[in-house]
Formats: sequence, C-alpha cells, structure tokens
Amino acid sequence: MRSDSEPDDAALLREDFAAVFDRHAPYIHRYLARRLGDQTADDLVAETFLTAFRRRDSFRTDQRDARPWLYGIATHLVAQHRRDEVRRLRLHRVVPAEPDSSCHADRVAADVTASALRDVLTSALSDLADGDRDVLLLVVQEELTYEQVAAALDIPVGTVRSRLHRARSVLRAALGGSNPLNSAEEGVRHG
Amino acid sequence: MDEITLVKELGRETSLPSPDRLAAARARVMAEVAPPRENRRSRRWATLLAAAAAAGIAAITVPQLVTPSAQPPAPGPTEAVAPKLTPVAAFLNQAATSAENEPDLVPRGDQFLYLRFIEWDGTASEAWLSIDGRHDGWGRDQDGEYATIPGCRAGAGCEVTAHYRDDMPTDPEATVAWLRKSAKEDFGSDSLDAVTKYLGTISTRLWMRPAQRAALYRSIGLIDGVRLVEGVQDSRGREGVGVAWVPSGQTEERAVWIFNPKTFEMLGTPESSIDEIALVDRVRQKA
Repeated sequence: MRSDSEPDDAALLREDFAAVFDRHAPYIHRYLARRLGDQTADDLVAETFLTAFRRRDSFRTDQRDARPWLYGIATHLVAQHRRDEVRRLRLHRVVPAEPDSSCHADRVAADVTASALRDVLTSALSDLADGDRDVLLLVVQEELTYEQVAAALDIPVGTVRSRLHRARSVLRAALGGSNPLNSAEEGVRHG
Repeated sequence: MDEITLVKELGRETSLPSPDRLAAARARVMAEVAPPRENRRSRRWATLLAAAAAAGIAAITVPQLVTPSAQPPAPGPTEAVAPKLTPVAAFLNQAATSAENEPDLVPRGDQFLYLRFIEWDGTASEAWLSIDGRHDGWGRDQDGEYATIPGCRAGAGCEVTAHYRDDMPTDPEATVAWLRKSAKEDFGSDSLDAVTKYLGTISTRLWMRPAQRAALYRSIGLIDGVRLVEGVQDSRGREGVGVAWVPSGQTEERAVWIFNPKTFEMLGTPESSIDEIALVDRVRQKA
C-alpha cells in the first residue's frame, strides 16, 4: 500500500497527526461512504481519527502503515450503524446510483441487465452476516490483504478466509451462478 | 460477470472525497489533537486559576513546611483596626487574629506552593506553583490532564508569575491600596467587582506570611459593599459564614469565601474548597 521511503506512521501518530489524517482520511472516508453514504462518512471519518488519536498508544510500533488499523476502527464505527447500512443497501435496489443520462438504445438492454444484477447483489450484501460483509468489502473494495484484514478486525487469518468464502458463496448463490463451493477465492487479491 | 467484479464495480460508484469535503472533519480532529499551543496553555491555566479563584482563601491551618528557611521575626499587626467595626470587619478581624498565630514561614524562591482543591463534584485538583515563577510547576486541569506550568527563566523575555510577593503589605489600609492598584493592573479597574475578583485569585495564587494574610483579611473589612452572609455551604456541604458582595448589575449576593464561624478557618467557596495548602520543595511532592 505504501513504499518504504514514506514516513513511518507509528512515528507520525505521535509527532504529526495531521500528516496521518491527510494520508489516510480520503480512503477511510470513501470506505465509510461506500457503506453508509457521504453524509454519515463526513461524521464518522472524524470519529475514526479521533478514536485513533486517543488510542494511538495501542498502535504497534513495528507497523509502518496505519491504514489497516484505521480501517479496523472505521469498521467498528460501521458496526454501530448496521441498520443504516442494510437500509442503504436495500435502497440501492430501488434507486441505482448515477443513472447515465447519455445512454442510448443499445445500452438500455445492458443497463437493465446490470441494474437487475445490481439489485440482486445489493440485496445479497444486505443479507450477509455482518462479519462476512466486513471481510468481503475490506478485501474486494478496499484491497486489503488477508493479513491486513485479520489485523484490522483482530481475528485470525483463517477466519478471514472462511468469512470471505462464505460471503462469496452466498453472493454466487444469489446471483444464480455455478456451484458456490467451486473456486471460491478466484480473482481475489490475497496476502 | 462474477460476484467479485460486481462488488468491485459497486465500490467504484463512490469516489475519493475532495479536500473540501474533508476540511470540516480535519478541523474537528485537529481541534482536539493539536489546539494552538498558546491557547491550550492559557486555557489550561485559566481553568486552574479559575478554580483557584473559586476556592478563595486557603485554610490557615496548613501542613508544616517541608524545609523551612530561616525565619525572621514575624511582623506584627501594624495598625489597630477601625474603632467602629462593621460586622464583616469584626468577623474578619477575628479571622486575622487567628491567622497571625500560624507559623511564619518564608518561602525560598525554588520552592513550590502546593494546592489541593476539592471541586463541587468531589474530584480533587492539585497544583504546584513556583514561588519565584522561574521554575517549572506541575498541575492538573479540569480535563484531568497533568502538565508542566512553564517557569520563566531569567533572560527568556517572558513575564514572571511569582507566587510569593514580599512587597505585599502587612498593614490593612496599605493592603487596600495595594489591592486596588493590583486589580487595576490585572483587570483594568479598581471597582468592587475587580477588587473582589482579584482577591479571589491572589488568595490562593500567593503564599502569604501570617501578617500579610491577617492584613488582607482586615483590609477586606474596610471595603465598602462587602458583607457577611450566614448559612452558606462550601462545595463539601460544610456550613459557614460567607464573606460576600453584590456584583454590579445583580441583586443577589455572591459569597467569595466561607469561614468556619467558630474557628475562623477558611472552608472554601460554594463551588470549591481547599483541601491542602503548603510549601514543598519540588513538584509532585505532597505535604
């Protein structure tokens, strides 16, 4: 996620917290916005960093990158808004984001198909177990490695794998795909 | 299209926020993380000194000094009190007489005035204030944080805040003039409001020798507008006699200090009380 030439977050957490915010806040905000919407993200990104500041002593000094740790804090805050997240996912089915005003006839059919898929997808996401959804989104959308997700959520790597496997199985089944037990980890970046 | 691709695409609908979008969150975070240093310091010590002011004059029954320096003879009361005392003056005259019987301890510049307050909610706040203002003190503000109170080193170009004034008079009338002059310097006015406000701050901010404190008590009895109020409770619920005045623009009296009516010991104020006051040799040393 970062090169070795960049400053060490463990040091910055103590010496220059503004730099920590500037480096990571856009990604944490986007993660929160993806799950809870922009307006809630505006509030929770501040909560995330305030929590990080208050708990900075708990950040392991042998870690250079604070982002997985920040994702963990943000995920705990998302957990306090589970109902909002599920409501938002179900709303997605009715109101797709950003309809393309320039679409023409050739795209209509494709859009209808995509929209239908999207509805199924968001419905399936809303039905996932909370912990399974956390892992899926951190791995797939935020591109964390299994080890980073394990550290962020304070769970074993094996649990990350099993949650991801279960989440994918549920999504595949909902999307009408092939046997959900096959090739469960294809296409997923992992550590 | 597999489920991973679909989930990724769903995520791509949300872009990174602009710096403008993050500005409010950043400001909120940095307000807690790194408030301007000078403001933070002044806020902290404004809080502490407000607590000190609220606590009023310390109990005269102080713990023994840790390292008393050579003790010159205590200056005695230099002036007889006014022939006809008002009730408040008579009461404070008795308190002054009691104060005069305390040990006369002259602080060294490198010592600290140790204060322990009990706030209205039962919490304790402590402070170690440098006697000559040139040594780093230590204290706790209402956020519960302990921090250094920076001393002003010689030649540093800062303002020295000493916590003992050897120029403080031992004569009641001279003390009134000294109070008015000091209130004008600190608060820009020598009105009753300003003088009583100043009284609140110096009563704990300064270490006083017995004659100085006695003169202070007697001087208050000479100030028009100060009166006695009975049945006042300090922050711990201890009932006593309040020395009060009516702030300008208000109709109710406000007690600045509460005394034990039998022993004339200072109890505190309605908001706060002094648990201990002493001279100590180093910060974090308790009497």
